[in-house]
Amino acid sequence: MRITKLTNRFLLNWHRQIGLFVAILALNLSITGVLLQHTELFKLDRTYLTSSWLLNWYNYPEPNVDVVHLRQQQVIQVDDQILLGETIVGNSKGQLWGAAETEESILIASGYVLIWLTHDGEVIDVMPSPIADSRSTLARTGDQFQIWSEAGWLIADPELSDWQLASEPGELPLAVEPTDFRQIHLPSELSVGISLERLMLDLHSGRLFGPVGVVLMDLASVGLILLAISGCWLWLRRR
Amino acid sequence: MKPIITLLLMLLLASPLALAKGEYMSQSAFLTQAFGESIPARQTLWLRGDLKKDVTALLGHRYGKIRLHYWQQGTTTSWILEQIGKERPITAGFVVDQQRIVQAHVLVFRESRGWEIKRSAFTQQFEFTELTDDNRLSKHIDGITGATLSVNAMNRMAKLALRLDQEVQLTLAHHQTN
Repeated sequence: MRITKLTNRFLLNWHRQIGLFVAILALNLSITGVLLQHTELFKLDRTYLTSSWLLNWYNYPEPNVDVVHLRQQQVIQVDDQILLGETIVGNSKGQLWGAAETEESILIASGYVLIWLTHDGEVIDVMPSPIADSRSTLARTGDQFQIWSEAGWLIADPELSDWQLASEPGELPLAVEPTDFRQIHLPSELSVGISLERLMLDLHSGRLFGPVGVVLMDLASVGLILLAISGCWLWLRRR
Repeated sequence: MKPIITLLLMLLLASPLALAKGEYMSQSAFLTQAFGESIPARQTLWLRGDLKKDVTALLGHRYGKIRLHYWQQGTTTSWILEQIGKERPITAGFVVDQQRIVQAHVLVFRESRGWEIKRSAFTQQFEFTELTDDNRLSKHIDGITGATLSVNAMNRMAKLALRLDQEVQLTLAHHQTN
């Protein structure tokens, strides 16, 4: 009887101390665990965080963003992805160097590539550019697109299959503006930033705080196991 | 001796990876193989209306652009098409004659896995394949382990080439009637 009483007191003390130690970590495990169980419901995989301190913590390289403002929408290049508004319309390993629009269509120039689109963002064709020079630019005269080259202004036929020397364009070229990616709304498909899912996973496992965080969460898990065992024992003894 | 063996082993291990991606056949080489030295002028086909719907139904999604180019000589048409395998587009050339594929080639492969589709043992399966009424290929194409997505992309492009050839032949017949 005395030994049992001592055992109970010992277990009770340990139960309380372990409980105190793991309380906060257990809260973290449980809350992040529930959120991760319902990733789709909470859209954790489609929500991206872009605050500077978080990106720095993860050593996440900030994307290069260039923008051309058309009359009613923007052409945006984020690293190698090219968007018209929020629709991804192509990709290019080079830099965005121009965009122009006529009543019928839009032409985007990036690296060695020309992307010809409808105003709805449907790609008509993707063609090699007659020149590839980030100092060049796109413009238009009426319904025809023009590219500046070292030899002078070139003008395209209506099919964009042939470029000939021409006079200066009727419309001024639109400027390509480097932009901070936080200042524009980017679609989640681009996956720019750290996803909430990734953050929750790293919090859940402790990896957000490196090896120390992982060890702490391991200890919290072991603590929960000991709590469960000691709690069951104490409950049984009280009966 | 040891450094030489190490270098040889590295080259041996790296070579499959080096072979995986790249341009296997240029566009001009493909067209020369299709038509010989006298390559016909490039023509344009627009994906609009019913043709666009048919192509979307056949591929399971919209084709990446609405203007396509092809080359035609008599009853033979040649198509250079693109479809995404796993993550990156595969460029393939198809020669269609009398509504059957007579040649199929992988021109550019951009993924790190699945490049085995470039082998003639695979592409030759498409020869004499037609498009059935329910938009299937008339022959079963054996897959390649580890290259399922690339094989699927080739199958889609083969069907597309046959459907586009049908459209060209129909248009030609219509013009000749008128």
